[in-house]
Amino acid sequence: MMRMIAAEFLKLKRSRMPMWSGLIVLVAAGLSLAVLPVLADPKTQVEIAKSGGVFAKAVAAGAYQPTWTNYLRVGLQGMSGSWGILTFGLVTAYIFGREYKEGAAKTMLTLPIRREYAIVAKLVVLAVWVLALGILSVALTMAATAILGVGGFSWSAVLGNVDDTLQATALLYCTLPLVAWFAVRGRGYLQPMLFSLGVMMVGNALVATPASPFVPWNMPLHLVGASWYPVSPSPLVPLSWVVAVAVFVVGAAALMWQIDHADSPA
Amino acid sequence: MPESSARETVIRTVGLTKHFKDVKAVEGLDLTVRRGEVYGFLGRNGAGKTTTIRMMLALIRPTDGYVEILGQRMAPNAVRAFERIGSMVETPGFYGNLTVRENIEMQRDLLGLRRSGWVDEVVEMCDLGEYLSRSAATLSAGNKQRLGLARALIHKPEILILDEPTNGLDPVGIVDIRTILKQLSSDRGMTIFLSSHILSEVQQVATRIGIIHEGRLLEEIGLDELRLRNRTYLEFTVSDTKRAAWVLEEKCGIREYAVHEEGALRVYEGFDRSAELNRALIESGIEVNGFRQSEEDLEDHFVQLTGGAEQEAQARERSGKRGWRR
Repeated sequence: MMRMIAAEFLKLKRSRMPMWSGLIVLVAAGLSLAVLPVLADPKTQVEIAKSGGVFAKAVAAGAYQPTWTNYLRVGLQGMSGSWGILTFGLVTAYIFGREYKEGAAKTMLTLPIRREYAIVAKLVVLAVWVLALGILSVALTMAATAILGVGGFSWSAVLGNVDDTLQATALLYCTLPLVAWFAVRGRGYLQPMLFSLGVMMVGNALVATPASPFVPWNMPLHLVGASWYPVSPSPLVPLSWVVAVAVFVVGAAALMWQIDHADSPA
Repeated sequence: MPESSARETVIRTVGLTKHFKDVKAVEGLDLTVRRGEVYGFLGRNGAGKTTTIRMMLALIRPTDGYVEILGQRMAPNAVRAFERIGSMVETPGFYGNLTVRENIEMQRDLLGLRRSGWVDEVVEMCDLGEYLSRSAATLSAGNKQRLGLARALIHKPEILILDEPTNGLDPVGIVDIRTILKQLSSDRGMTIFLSSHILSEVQQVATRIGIIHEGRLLEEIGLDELRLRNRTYLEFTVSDTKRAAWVLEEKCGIREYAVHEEGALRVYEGFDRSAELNRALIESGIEVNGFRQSEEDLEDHFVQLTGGAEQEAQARERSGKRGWRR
């Protein structure tokens, strides 16, 4: 098992994908850096309030007031509701679909090692990768907030954000075996990315509905809030976690079944 | 009993069948490979060679039948069998971001082999020494094939299964791969199962061949037996094959002959009467443009067999019959 995990990490050596995924997080933090001062400007806020659009309610609710709590939350909301789902999906597609895309699956599947071990090893690498991206997101959002000169720094705001980030990352991670199943089933990157895009849209559509705490792709937004609706952060109920774990188990089981029972001609 | 048939059977397929929806890729394939043999699995493109190999390696599931390798039924997670098998299916895939050495060492680590000497050994055997620090993505087709072979050989398998190993290689690359295979067979006594559509290639390395056509195994034969069976013939190239056949039959009493394409007529008897036959044709006003005594080789045998099978299939289609067997 350890040999498989070590090999999975070695496969990333000199691969550009870790760098690209880090760049996406950087761009997301950079966008916050560019947009938040505009939204925080009192004149702009008056304009937004007058327009009565999507952001009017958010401005009225004070979601874009320049505080550490608000700014860190906006960064986390981006990860939970948009770029996080897509980037984690991309990383999953790469880890699980790469061998099929590059013709190395037949070598991997004819190793004298149980195929389930390969799946577990990939899931371990995926966990480390998405966790690293989550932490990087917090760090970069903090840096952006500091650069903007937002006052009122508090460790409790930072630690609260780290806690929410870890929970949101864990919730999103639970959905990734299903993405991986699409990568193995479709033997590449297209199917898992289309699936990720679809579930991101579903998650966003359900954000202000009663189903919100029970839809796996919506749970992170339910937890951290969505300032653009606006929806305030709400704690998840225990059943939410049961659903999230169940989705992980179903996804992992589908993945194991696929790799053991379906044809793998690639 | 011939020596080969006394040896242990190491690969066996029983009623192996694979259908992809309506396409019958492989149909009731029964083949056996014995220890130490170099088995050439011959067939045209699309005959079912790769599908058979993929079923052997449990990459795809048979619709019916099964494969046994070294006494173990092949299925995903047939770990014990895979420990003793090396394989390369079509174009080998690699981790292009890793160097040649890293690719081989990763395979060694995954196989739980501790000695680094094993890496050096396959590197030397496959002549990869000067490419070790090159990224696998930048290798030529020939070197990729060598790397694939190196990875398949690193754990010193008892059985090597190769699907079209010389595909896309230049003549020098083909000779190199052939040399390695001969060496593995003669020095290590490795059993090699090799698919190809290149007859001359198979003829030079195989000790036994199986011919597959439209998913069915038409014949399994030892190369020595094939040589014995190869028939010597007189070939006349004539202006009118129909009339020439009549002359040979009616005037010379020849019964064993066959008309081939491009005005060629092969006679399988009366080799000591070649001058007489030639004269009879000319005296009957038939132009004899060429005349030679020759021997059938694997290519003739293959064409005859697969051509015959095709004619039978057409006849079967015409008569609406199904489920024939040779």
